[in-house]
Order: sequence, then C-alpha cells, then structure tokens
Amino acid sequence: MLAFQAGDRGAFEALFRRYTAPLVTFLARMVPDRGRAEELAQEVFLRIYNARERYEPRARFSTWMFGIAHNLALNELALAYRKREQALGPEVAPVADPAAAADDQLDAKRAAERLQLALTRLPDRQRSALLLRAEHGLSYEEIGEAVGSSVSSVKSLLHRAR
Amino acid sequence: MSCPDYASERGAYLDAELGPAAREAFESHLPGCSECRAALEAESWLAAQFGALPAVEPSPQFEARFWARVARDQEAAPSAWWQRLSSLRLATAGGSLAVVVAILLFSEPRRPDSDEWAMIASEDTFELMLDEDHELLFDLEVLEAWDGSREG
Repeated sequence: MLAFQAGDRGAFEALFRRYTAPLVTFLARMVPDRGRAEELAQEVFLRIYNARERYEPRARFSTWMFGIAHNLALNELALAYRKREQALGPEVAPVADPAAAADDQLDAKRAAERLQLALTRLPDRQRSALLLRAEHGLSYEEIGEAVGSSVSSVKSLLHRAR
Repeated sequence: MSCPDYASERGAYLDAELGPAAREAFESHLPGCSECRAALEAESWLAAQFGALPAVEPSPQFEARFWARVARDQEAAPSAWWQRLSSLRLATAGGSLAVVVAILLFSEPRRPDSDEWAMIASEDTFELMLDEDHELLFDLEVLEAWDGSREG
C-alpha cells in the first residue's frame, strides 16, 4: 500500500488480485445476495484506491481492508432489515432443520452446507468476527481493530458465536 | 498461573504472538489442563471447517468492472489543477455574488443625514413654490384677460 501511495499502480493491482477472493468470500458469507456482495467488494477496493493519499500503516493491510468490509456489510444488512421490517413486520427466527441434526454421517459437502447455514443464523457482528477469526486468520487484536471493538469484546463475540 | 489466566493467552498462542517465555509457560501448562487443550482443539477444528469451505470466486468481469468504476469516478471528480482552479474561480464568483445579494437584502436602507434632509425639504418647498408660482401666473393671466376684455 505504501508503494501504491508513492505512485506505483502495479502495487495496488497486486493487492487487488491477492485479496479479491478473500474479500468476496467474506462479503458473500455476510450478505445473502451474491451480486450485492461483489458490489460491496468493489466499493471496498474503491475506498482503498481513493484513500491512498491519506493511508497510514497503523495496521496490517488485510485488517484495514476487512474493517472497511465489515462496516459496509453491517450497513447493508441494517438497511435490508429495515426494508424487510417495513414490508413484512418483525423477522421470525428460522427453525433448525431436525433432519440435518440427526444425520451423523455427513459428507464434506453437507458439512459445508450446514456450516454456512449455521453462519446465516448468527447475529451479524458475531458472524463477522467468527469469519475473520476462523476463515481469514485474523488475531483477536486485529479483529478488534477491524470491527472497532476491544479485544475482550471480540473474545466475548467469538465465545457466543461458537 | 491458573487456567483462566491462560485462557486469555490461548488466542495469542495460536496467533504465534506470545514471547518465548510466555509461550514456553503456556506449553508446559497444556499437558495438565484439559480445558485449554479442548479449547485449542475446538479452535483448530473450527479453522479446519472454515478452511474446507469453498472460497467464493468473483465473477470473471469483476476486475474490469472495478477499473471502469475507477475511471467513472475520476471523470466525475475534477483532478487537473486547471479544473480545480476554474472550480475555485466559479466558487469565488458565486461567493461574491452571494455577499452582494445578502448586503442588498439584509442591510437597512441608509437614512439621510441632517444636511440631506434639509436639501430634500428645500426641494419640496421649491416644488411647492413652483406650484404656487404657477397658480400666481394663472391668476395673473386671468386678471390680464379680464383687464383686456374690460379695455375692449
């Protein structure tokens, strides 16, 4: 990012290619609409591109990037919830699938589906913290920086998410 | 150190953020603590589960669409110095106009001072005098006409 700040556009292109898949993956697990997740990922990169002159290396690039993505995803979800409530009334909690719970011999695909289903049932902040920790390998401190919480709050979020 | 103390260090241990002494202390604590071992195993299991999830691949046009968006943004925002300068000139001209309009709209009309009042008063009087003179002239003409008719 510092090289890009100094005028090396190739450095930004390298960051873009390296982080596109993790970023789109994170946002696609946060936001149900895949197309919208891609638009948000583009918005994240656009903000990074436009912030090159103001960038200060206070954290790892990935922490900064996921922080922007986390905020955009929560804003998007809050907006979607408001629209849904206005249209349908308060949301009804989804009911667990008993057949899935009873099946002990799950293959890898089924396990992945269950995990993704379980993720969708988590509150947004917990889901974000869990994804950043378990899928993207951020430390508690980095998650705290990304989501704007203290380390103890992150630990609490993760504990509840598990 | 008791287990709750180590609990706060589990994350740092997994992130390889503990110093050598703290790391050694934690590793010597692990064999005798089922709680810490279970927590580490659970964390590893969770990471493995997420690691097995397929990554979401972006659509093939993702990068092209991004650069098109950057180009649109740059077109929308003036970037060259002369563009910024012309924007500044427009803003300055607009600001000046606004100040003039504000002064005209909100300033109290200036009240004439005593000399000006006297001049205005004298002008009024002068006009009255002219009117009176005019009447006098009219009266004079009537009289003259009357005198003429009498002479005739």
